[in-house]
Amino acid sequence: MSTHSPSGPAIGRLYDQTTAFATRSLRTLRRNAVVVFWAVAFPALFYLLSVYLFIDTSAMPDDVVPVVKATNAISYGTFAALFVFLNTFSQSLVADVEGGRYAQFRALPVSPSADFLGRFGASFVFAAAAVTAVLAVGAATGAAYELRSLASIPVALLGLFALGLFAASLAVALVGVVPEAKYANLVTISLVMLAFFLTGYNGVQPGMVVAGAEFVNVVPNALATRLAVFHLVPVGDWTQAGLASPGAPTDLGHLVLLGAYAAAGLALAVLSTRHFLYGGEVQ
Amino acid sequence: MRSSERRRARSRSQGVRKTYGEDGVLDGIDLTVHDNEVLLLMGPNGTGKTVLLECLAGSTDPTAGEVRVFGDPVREDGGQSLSLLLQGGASVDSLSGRETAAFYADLHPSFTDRWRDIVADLGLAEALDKRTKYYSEGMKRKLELALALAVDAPLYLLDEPTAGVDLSMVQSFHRAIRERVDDGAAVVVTTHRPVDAELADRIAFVDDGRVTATGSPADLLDGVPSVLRIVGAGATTDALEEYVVGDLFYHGDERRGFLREDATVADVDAAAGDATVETVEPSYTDAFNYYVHARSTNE
Repeated sequence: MSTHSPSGPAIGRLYDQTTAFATRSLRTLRRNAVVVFWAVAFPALFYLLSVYLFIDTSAMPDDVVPVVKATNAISYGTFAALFVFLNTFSQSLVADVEGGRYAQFRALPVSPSADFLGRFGASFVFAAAAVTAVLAVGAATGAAYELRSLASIPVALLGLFALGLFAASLAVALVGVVPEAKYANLVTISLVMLAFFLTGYNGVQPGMVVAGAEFVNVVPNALATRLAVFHLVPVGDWTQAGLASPGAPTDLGHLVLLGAYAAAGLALAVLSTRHFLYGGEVQ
Repeated sequence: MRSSERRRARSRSQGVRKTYGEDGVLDGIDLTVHDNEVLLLMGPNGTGKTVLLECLAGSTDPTAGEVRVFGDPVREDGGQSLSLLLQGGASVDSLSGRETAAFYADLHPSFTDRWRDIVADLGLAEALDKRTKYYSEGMKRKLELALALAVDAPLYLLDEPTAGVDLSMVQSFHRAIRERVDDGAAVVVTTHRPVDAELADRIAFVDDGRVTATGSPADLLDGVPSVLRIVGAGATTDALEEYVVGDLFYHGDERRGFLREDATVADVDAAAGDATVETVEPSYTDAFNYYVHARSTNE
């Protein structure tokens, strides 16, 4: 009787387990019509409503309209990603908690880090697909994109990665600390909406913020969005486009801040997974 | 000293208590699982069998007491020495049986391809590419059992593996479990189905968070008082219960009970009116009713 996987080096087992969780998560995500609707279709519809009903583009110069559409597409793309990293991520955890599968996992030689990294990997792929779908809808409706440099796509992906790690870590911690795991879903959907509106649509309309809007270059959802806008959209004048003030987050400090969000998120996520899901008995 | 007591303990639990808030689920369980045996944890639904199994597996921490596997605290073992089946705990509705197996194969380093043989023996092979949301409860049990027994482990902990399984298939489940014991493993099985008693080397009856009796099936059957079988209309159940330990139990159209030491069959017969009264050999259902429900009322 052959053994499927050699007990071998720990790193090999970590890889196997991470891949197992990632594959399983991707399969369950893409087969869940509700998740696909809320993560992909809803942000795209939200974008279409905004650019055709809520924003009067007829009064704008012709060269500004494609830029406004592009910044809105990126804003709703971040909305989709945040939905995946916070709400969908917590839903997948809650499903396993309520299905009794964590009682099963705790009796297996499973690395909690592999569990989180696998789920996160799947969520990142799914979120990237959701963002791409919204940007594609934007392109189809006249949004203009332009790469600022060869580093633009890696930097935009770094923003998505950092936002994802930070948000997914909150999802794990919430599932652990909310008295009944199923209520974590309500909290995460509320957080997605609050983050979107309180930062002026993920930072693309800082003028909506009554008090000083400098924080939109600091909080992860708005920072990632504005960084993506800077690198992917040919904005001539940030003030004219409604993106200032503050100005574009262009200095190295903003990248370092994103790195810090990613590191803090990873640490919190691994600790929370180990403590709440594998060390305790989350109900 | 009996041979079972001389054998090495694979799992030993001492004074295991488990509470959730103010609700007590386990109340001081002492239990030893020996080499090469099937230990059946038998009791009604909601009496703490699954929680006990989770404690034995290290997936739930006892509120008090300790669980050791091969002499070490079960948490330190990290799941290396055991394989756990939790009813409904393996499958995700949107995955197929084959995808579920692939997932668990990558999680446990001792997972073998034995699962393929077991699903073939249990008649599930044709359904492996269906999503498990289309599986019946019995089909889910087949997949779960195959995945649990596919792990090469010296100790298997199986939560109600035959729940929802039709009687014609139960023997196949027993055979698959017995093969692991023949290969040197020990198996703990929870159940509330008397038919599973045929699988057991020892039975521990569990009720209200406590083990009420432990022994070999033969010893436990020997310990059951004379079993009364009452068929037909006649005296009311209330009128007959003064002669039995605890209550009478309905079994189809007959009533069964355990004759008190200070009563005789003639006493019951006289009180039974037109009903027929006889004594019969105890079945496992009788043993279940006696050790779980009736005996405590006699103490």
